[in-house]
Amino acid sequence: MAEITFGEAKIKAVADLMREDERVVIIGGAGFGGLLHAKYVAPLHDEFEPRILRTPIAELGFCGMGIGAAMAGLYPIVTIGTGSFAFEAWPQIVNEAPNITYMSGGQVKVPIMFHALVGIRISGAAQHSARPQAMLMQAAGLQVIAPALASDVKGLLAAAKDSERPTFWIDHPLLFEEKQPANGGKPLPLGKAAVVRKGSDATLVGYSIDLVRCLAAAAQLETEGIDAEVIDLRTLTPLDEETICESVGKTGRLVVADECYPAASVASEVASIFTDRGFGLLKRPARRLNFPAVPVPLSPPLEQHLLPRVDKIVATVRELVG
Amino acid sequence: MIPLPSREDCLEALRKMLLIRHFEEACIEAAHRGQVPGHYHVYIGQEATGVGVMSALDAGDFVHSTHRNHGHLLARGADPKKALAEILGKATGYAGGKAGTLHGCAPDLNFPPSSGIVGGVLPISTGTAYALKHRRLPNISVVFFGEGAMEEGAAYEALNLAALWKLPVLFVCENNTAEVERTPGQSGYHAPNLSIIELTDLAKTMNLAAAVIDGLDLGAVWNAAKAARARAVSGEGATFIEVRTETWPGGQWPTLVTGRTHIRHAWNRDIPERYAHLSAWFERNDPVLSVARTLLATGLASERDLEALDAMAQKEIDQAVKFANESPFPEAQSALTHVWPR
Repeated sequence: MAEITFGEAKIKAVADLMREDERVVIIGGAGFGGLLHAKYVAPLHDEFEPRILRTPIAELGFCGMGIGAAMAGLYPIVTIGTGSFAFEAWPQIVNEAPNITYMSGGQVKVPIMFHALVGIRISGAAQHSARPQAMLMQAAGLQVIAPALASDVKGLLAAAKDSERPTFWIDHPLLFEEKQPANGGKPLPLGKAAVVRKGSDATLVGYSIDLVRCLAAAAQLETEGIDAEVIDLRTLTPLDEETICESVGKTGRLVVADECYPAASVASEVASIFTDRGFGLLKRPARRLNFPAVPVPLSPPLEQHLLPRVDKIVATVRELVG
Repeated sequence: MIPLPSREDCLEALRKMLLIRHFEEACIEAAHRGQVPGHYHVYIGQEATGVGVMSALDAGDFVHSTHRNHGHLLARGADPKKALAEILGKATGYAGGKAGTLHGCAPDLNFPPSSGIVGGVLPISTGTAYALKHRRLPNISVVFFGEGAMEEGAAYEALNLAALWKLPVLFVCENNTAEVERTPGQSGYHAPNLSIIELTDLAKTMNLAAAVIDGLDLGAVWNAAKAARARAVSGEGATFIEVRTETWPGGQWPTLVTGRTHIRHAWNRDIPERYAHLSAWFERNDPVLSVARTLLATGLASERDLEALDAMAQKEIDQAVKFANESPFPEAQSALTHVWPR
């Protein structure tokens, strides 16, 4: 099975979109690669330079600009860079884009894709490690996607583009070098999670880099004779409750790995399914592994102490099963 | 000198200004009857700006506005019936009651939902302009905002983007506090909360074409808009105009402090006693009366012509009021629709 890095797959996916549709433009200078992988973005510039706007450091301005461009016939991908910088553009992302279709009675579309490399990038410290995704789930009218696998990224991007909904692509710097199977590319349904590893003893739910951690945890658990089912959320809004319920109905045990802070996190939302729709399916308490409510520290041992690490996921499952 | 090229243009412009004026009066009356949900803002005193700018635009141009959008919508050609119905939250409004006054829109006229966040609309306007330029369309984006928007960082980012890339934007800063709040001893400041004395100096420093326009002068507004549009379409970039008007005294918590407008006050000095303390409005600062006086003075219209124009506008608004009053509220379930485009 051919392998590719997630980063190369996502750049290829964007290039495909741009080749297929001349309305696609990139606002923000094609920051898909962040600091470390900027050189991988060069092919996009080579092929599509007139359609890539290198912006000043004006996130509020250029995110609003993206919204306008989307209303006037283009499909802008707005690369914000580090996830924390989304906060600079917050009014446009959560108070303009998601409201416009509704406020126009359905007549004005905002087909825009915001992109950011969010998350604990390692040594980003307090202000460059933000995870805005749970907050973005509170913007009614904003779709939030989080491809974690090279084989999914084109399908999710294409589906989001076809939906014409204002969308935020939650990307992660640590995903770039993940070597993954290269198959895939067919459009994926939005709002549908994927069972990426079948199992019977426990349900591990993750997304983005935490999906990678869940898969690593499942592999470790297998050597201990514990058979974990792993679910990739793929989209945060809309969230697929049905697939998670079906899995927990089988396993009775739920562990959610999520880099967000605990309060009102993605993990909270997943766990809350079992207080209502999934009530009675759990045999043990639902466990959430978040990044504790602490500003992200710089010093590596401090940061590592707080991360929802693979060994923490493994220990949590072991405790639930044992 | 006549304000617009032909007699027809001038009469049509005054008709639109009267339409806006009577629409806003109807809004205020509706609000005092308890029919307007939430807080609203009227365009009384600024009609020449909206009408002058829109007269210079094409159908393919985009128009962006703020919470003070009623005059812009009507100047652009929106249907007063649907516009008023929307303000009252009725199902027959432009957005089925979902937008209301703050987010007024007329999508079929390239007028997307107005932003109620001060400054919010400026970045968005650079985007529609960028799309028009990128698609090689001979069109521009116009964005209306108040001097208050220049207190927000978003405005500076948008001006910078427009200037950097020569985006086809016409920034129309409507300063309706031009003479009102001067700090004693600090002469020359044209807006109460800005450390900038001349907004157009700021625009020029940012490499934008800029001009200060008298908001009573319909012809000056139109000429400035026309020149800006030509500049934008030819690739020479964006323009910033500051259009100054006096604040209408009844605007803060809208109340008809000057009564309903009667066009005869353009030539007849019989202002009712109760408005005497506001005579400056009638004599100088009302753009509707000012333009009417110009049309009389240049011989474009007689007093009878103007009375007929006023009556026509008032009648159209009366019909809009009837339509809006008789329209139903939207079905409760419709609250859940139109979140997504499909």
